[in-house]
Amino acid sequence: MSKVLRRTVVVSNPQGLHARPADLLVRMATQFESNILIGRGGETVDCKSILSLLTLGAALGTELSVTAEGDDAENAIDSIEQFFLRGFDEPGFEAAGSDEVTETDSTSSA
Amino acid sequence: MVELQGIPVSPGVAIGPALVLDAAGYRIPRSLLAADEVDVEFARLRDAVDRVSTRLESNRLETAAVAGEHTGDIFAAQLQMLHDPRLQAELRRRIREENQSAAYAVSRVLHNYAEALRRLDNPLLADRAEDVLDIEKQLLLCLGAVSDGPLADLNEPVIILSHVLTPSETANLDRKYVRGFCTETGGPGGHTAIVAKGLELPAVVGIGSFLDRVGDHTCVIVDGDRGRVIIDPDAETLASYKQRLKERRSLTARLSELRDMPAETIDGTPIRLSANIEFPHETTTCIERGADGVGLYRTEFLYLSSAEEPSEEDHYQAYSQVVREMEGRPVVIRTLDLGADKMGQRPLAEQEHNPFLGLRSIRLSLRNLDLFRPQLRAILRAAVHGDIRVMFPLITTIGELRQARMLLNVVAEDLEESGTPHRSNIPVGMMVEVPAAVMMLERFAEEVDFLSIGTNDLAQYTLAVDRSNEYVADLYQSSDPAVLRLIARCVEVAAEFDRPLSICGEMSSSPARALLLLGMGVRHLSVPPSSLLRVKKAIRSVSIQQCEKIAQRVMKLEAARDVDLYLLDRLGEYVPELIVT
Repeated sequence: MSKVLRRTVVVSNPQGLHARPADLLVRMATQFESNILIGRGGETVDCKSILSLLTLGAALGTELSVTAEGDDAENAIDSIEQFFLRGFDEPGFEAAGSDEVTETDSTSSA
Repeated sequence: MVELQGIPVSPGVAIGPALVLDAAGYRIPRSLLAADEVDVEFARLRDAVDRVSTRLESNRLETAAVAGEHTGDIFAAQLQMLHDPRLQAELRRRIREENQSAAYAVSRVLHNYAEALRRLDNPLLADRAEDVLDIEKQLLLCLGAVSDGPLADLNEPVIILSHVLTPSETANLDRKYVRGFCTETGGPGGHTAIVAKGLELPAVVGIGSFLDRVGDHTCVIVDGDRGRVIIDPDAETLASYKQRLKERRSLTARLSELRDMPAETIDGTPIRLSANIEFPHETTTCIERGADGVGLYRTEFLYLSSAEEPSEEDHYQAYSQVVREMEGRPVVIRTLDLGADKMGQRPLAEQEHNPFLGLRSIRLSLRNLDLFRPQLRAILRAAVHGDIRVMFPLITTIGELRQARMLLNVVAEDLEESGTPHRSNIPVGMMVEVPAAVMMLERFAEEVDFLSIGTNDLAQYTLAVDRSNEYVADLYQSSDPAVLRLIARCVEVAAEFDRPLSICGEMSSSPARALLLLGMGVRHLSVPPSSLLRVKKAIRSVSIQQCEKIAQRVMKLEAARDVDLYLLDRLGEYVPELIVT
């Protein structure tokens, strides 16, 4: 039986969802059978399409909603959420909660 | 008639029929297939995708082997784009259901993606549009829809209209037919601008989106003096520009009479007037136009013109040629002044998010001694052939200057030990282009033989403006009063320490601004070869006293615009011949 799961993730690395993380995200998503959509507002795109992901233009702090539908939806959405929490495994990115990142950001721009 | 305003980067007027290039430099006509051709066409697309895929994979492996996995991943992302399911589905739909040719479908779909990326307010992603267009181009090449050199088959005079022209594309423009160009993107200090000026090709960049409003063969006027592009001009405008073109030609003829006359003011103050060059062959023009030497030899093209880093021998050959052809006149060689972002084959190349504040220029050289040493060795070796001087760019701290000097000494000792012919007692100077260096200039002046102000970077770093960013390029003005104050301070310190000071940025190439610099006490200007005679004309038309008055007045003004308007007025008064209407 297929499930539909929805979760909100936040882009937490300074450069946003650029080419490299988008590539990794697609590779992750394609490991699952589930249909995975990601987006914000009314605009959702196929999480297995790198070009679509890039055109989201998701910068630091962008909230995205992820929907997974399929037998492995739960695994899929967990993996993706973790990937966002880890700052896309970018080199030099200190694993940090999104609150902390926002705080650092506001001090640096002051 | 449509008038567009952009950024003038290379002076002159060009009139001719338009050749509109799309973003990547070619245009794919819409063509439809007969129903029975669809299968074959789709198979051709599959084949092209496979071939591009193989190529990208080998690019990835080769790059990763040389520059590390992280850099190789650029091509991994391109591969992912190529196999994007949405992209493939859209291509299939266009070919199978809309009977479009594979080439047309590829061109349309990838363009739409590139356009969507460009529209994002995010420079990092906007740059990815280049990746998308790169894929497009490779697919089109495999489909036989484009040839490698889209600009190679010209057979009539044209004005090139394009979204972007890269420096190498610009350098390769067929001068026989290309009269001028204008682009939607670009800024005044980019390499494309510098190349255009070197080729004396009238050019206007940073116009913003306009290509959809022009068709091929439409008459276009490029006014590289004022940054204006006129599409389909009315008869009156066309006639007035043709007149200007004629006047310019006769001005050029009159100016050429100045070549053997000294660059001195009416009151007899001698001014050193040197040339900035990129390529060794430019020495011919320098000599023809009576330059006192090469005040700035940019060595970056050695690095940009080939996929491999230049060897010591490449450096040596180029420098020897320049210094020999300058026949005893001084040649100031500036060491590598590139950002890591331009050094594709080096690790760290694409990790910088703010390359202008990053690992560039002398910083890059000092961090990559295997890159820096061959250049320094070549400079000292070539110095046996004439008056070579070396200059370090972007010096910010005294430590950098000392490190660079020390390395020069080490290299000299190596050459000495191995018995290689060289000369090590050459003058060593620095570029002053970071406000920090201006503020600390007394310390630097004690440790260098000469100073040279690079006004392009000095303006950029003072005004916090990326000069290649079309959104803020208008804030970038080397005549900004803040920049002028920094220059004034440099002149003072140079005089106090008795160090020769030259100005080698774009600023000195404008005759009006040159008058100001003379008034501020500058006695050595280095300008592009194309500006030598105009600047000499200006110098020979004024007295130092007049210039000093100009400088006093300018220092009271508040904005770059006021400064330039005032200077233009003075130029009109003292050297009316140079004012092109």
